[in-house]
Amino acid sequence: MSNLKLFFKSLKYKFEDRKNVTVTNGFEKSMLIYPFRLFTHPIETFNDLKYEKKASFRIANTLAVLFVLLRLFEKLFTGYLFNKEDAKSIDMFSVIFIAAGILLVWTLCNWATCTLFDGEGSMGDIWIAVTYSLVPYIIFHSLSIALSYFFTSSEAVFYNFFCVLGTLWTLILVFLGLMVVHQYTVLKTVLSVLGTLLIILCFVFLLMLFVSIFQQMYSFLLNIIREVVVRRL
Amino acid sequence: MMIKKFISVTVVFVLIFSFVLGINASAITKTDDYQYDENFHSIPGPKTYTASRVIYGRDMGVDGLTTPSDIFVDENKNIYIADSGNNRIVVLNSDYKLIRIIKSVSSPDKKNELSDPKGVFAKDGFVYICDTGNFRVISIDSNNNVVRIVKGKDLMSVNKNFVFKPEKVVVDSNSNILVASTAVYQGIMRFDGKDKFKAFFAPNQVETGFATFVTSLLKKLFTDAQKESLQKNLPSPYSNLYIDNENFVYAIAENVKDGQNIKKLNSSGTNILAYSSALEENQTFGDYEADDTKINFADIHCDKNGYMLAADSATQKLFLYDKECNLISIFGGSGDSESQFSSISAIEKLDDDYLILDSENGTLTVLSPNSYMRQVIVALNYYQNGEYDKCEEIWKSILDKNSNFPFAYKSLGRTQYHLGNYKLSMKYLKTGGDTYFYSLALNEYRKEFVKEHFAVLLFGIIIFVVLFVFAVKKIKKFLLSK
Repeated sequence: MSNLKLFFKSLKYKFEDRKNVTVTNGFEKSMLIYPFRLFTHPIETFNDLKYEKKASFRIANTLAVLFVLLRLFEKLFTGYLFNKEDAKSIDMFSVIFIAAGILLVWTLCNWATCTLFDGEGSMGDIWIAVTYSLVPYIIFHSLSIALSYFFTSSEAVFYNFFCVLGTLWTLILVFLGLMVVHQYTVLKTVLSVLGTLLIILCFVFLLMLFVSIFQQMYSFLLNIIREVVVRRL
Repeated sequence: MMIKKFISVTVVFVLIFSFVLGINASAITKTDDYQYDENFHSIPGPKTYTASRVIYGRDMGVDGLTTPSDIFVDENKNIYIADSGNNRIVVLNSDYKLIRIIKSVSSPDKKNELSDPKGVFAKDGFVYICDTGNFRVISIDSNNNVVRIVKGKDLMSVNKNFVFKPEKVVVDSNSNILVASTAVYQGIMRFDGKDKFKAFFAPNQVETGFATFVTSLLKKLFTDAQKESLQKNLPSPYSNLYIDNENFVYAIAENVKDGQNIKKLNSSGTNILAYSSALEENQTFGDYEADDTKINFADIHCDKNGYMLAADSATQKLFLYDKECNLISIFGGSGDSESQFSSISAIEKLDDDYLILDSENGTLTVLSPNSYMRQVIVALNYYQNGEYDKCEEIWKSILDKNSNFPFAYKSLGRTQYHLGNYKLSMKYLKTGGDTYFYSLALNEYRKEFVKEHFAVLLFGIIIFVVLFVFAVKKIKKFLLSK
């Protein structure tokens, strides 16, 4: 029973309240230390990033670009044994599109959800929390790309370990980052994540609709142009 | 600022357009000869087996064949054709000339005329006939006297409504008769040397999925009458059998899971087919890219070297596999040319040639390997006998003719692995798509590499670690300095 009580209590846990501030666009060389400090002091670092204005959009965007490139490199350069992709049929643009899309759509949809539910983070705050959280992913997955050349199939466990470790760590950091940025309790963060996923589904559906309409419009215009050209009006 | 905006807008547009106007790689048309590359995509391939003769009934010395349904070649190279439509068995010698016609037999149960014989088998001078129209399997000697009769009476004691409609028969070296029937879902029927029913053998599994789960839940709500009217979920029957010299039975079943339509059964009914590493992930027999047409094998043959040929009655394609189920060649196909078929009913092998029986055309087509295929067979035999140094040259000359043949790269890679050239082996195996042996070769290569460069590696790692720690400290100090 006491375990259950503890569980419910932990759901209501919240980091200490801070006065909300707006993000600014600045850069000092000392800011470069923060992505790496996330490893040892994640919560403190997220606090510093937002409330002590230690975040830099330049670093955030660089990390986002690194993430997108890494997704591409994973498909292209993972060693033969661990590369499930058929090198001949990789669509580079779709890989880039999807990787960048995940970051952008998540940021947009999370902002859209959390502004409705007293989230204190601005879009910039969320973007910084998400991109800074990618550091473990980038480090461990680039390590696993290199290691994929040395491991045989029977040692696949080690390769998978690095991949899973990187991904999990990043997901945990994103969670903590959102908690700090929005000043949410644990339960509220979980709900906001679920809400965000729901909104993403709607968003993707609308996007598909838009794309298909766009496609039809495109072919319609093309047909008109063709007809005009052929008839020489 | 303008430039920045311009670039970002262009990038977004390029991305959207590449997404919208994505071009799909088109597959080749399947009317030409094709093969599969290491990623199981179809690519044009060379011809392997071509028709050297097409034999009609009149060429054999009988009037035409009507829906012939089975063919068998015995140890003396006599050819037995079950000419079902004409209620007879036609026996030819290896020059495809008539030896004898079996139309009536002298049977103790007074039924002397054959009726719709669907299967034929011969062993030690006796001919075994599935006399399907008379609901019996008979074995006759050279004077058409019936020696053995299997009527399935014991089966009727198990189930009153049981209909014994034997369609294919094989006999093992202990004189057990194995009978397959598409009306029997319990498995292959095994009769002992005294023609007594022994057991059902190797039944297929019932296909279970989400739909079966839902119906099983619904069944609890149904009345008995409703339950009766439901479609029964029964295992698939076997449609054809083949037995090799070591008493292994090759069986074909319809409507089963992808890797289960060909089975190699031992005497206890377990499937002991050895799959190659590539197939274990993607275990399918027949076309990998089968779109609408479901694979429906009609017959299987396995020669003494373990090469399996399976005939697909849906597409009239013939698939040749080696011992490990690696696809070696695809030939045949539906059409009117000499090496194409309308409805394959049975296949056999005579020396190097495959005999294909077409039930719709009433023809027997002799497919012979061309020079390219002969080379492949020689190389495969060398490889399977472990004569790796000999087959290397042949594989290379095969690759000159067909550089897209993944199996050749695979074999070359395995050959180099056995010869100890691990680096070269890895290169070939990668091209051939053999992850299993690639992994083995990598292991060996790694060992070799570490042994050779041990000192360099050790010092390299130590120096790297020291430098890394030093660099991290320096960089931290620099970043934190004002």
